[in-house]
Amino acid sequence: MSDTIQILNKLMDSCALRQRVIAGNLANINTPGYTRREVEFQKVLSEAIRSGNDDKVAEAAPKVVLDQSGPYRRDGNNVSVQTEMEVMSDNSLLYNLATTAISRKYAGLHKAIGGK
Amino acid sequence: MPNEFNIMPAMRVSATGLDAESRRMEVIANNIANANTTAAPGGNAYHRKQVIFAAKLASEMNKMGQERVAAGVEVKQVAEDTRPDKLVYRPGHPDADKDGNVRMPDINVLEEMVDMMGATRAYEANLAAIKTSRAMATQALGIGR
Repeated sequence: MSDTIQILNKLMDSCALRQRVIAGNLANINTPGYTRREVEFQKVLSEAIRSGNDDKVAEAAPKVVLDQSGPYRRDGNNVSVQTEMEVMSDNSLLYNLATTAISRKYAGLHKAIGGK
Repeated sequence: MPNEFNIMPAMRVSATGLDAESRRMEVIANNIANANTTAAPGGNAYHRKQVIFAAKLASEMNKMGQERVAAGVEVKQVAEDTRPDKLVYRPGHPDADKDGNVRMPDINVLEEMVDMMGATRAYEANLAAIKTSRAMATQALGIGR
């Protein structure tokens, strides 16, 4: 039970961090020489879960990386509004999912305690 | 909970974006308003200005293997455009030289308009980010209800 809540908590943390990173990318959409940043978490977490080691799952943390893949504009900036908006709506949906799932978990616990 | 996983800093980051873009708008509006100014402070023709943005990077997230996230953007400088003045023949003008030429700012209103559209779009993008951050914070408040 608590494992699920712990993992969902981590998911919320990584979504919050990603939102901040996207906000930073959007704020710097016209900054010459700025490279967009990205948060890597799902990969880290799924590797940790697949390893079957609970300590690794507990230690899994989101990582901020540079994303140099997109086409750079002439001012040396590779932020695109479309990409950021897409990642942002994805991310907010995922956050919605995590908060809803945590709420359900707590509701289940509540029922168990009440014996209903 | 460490600060880095909070939603609130995301809103602060977007707010710096709004600030910077509105500053850019001000400068563009000033350029358009002064497109025909022959006697700016100093006595010369007005020179076109442009804002130079620089990323502000967060200091607290400099852990091993981590890139520093942008804590926002700032207007590093309002730079003066170096293109030369336009010479317009207007012998009756009080600012004319002995040949009857007046130095006018070389400002292209179309160019300023395009720049202004860019500033508006970037402002809207930051606004959208603030709205999403707000929605996320509200969702988190709803846990357990």
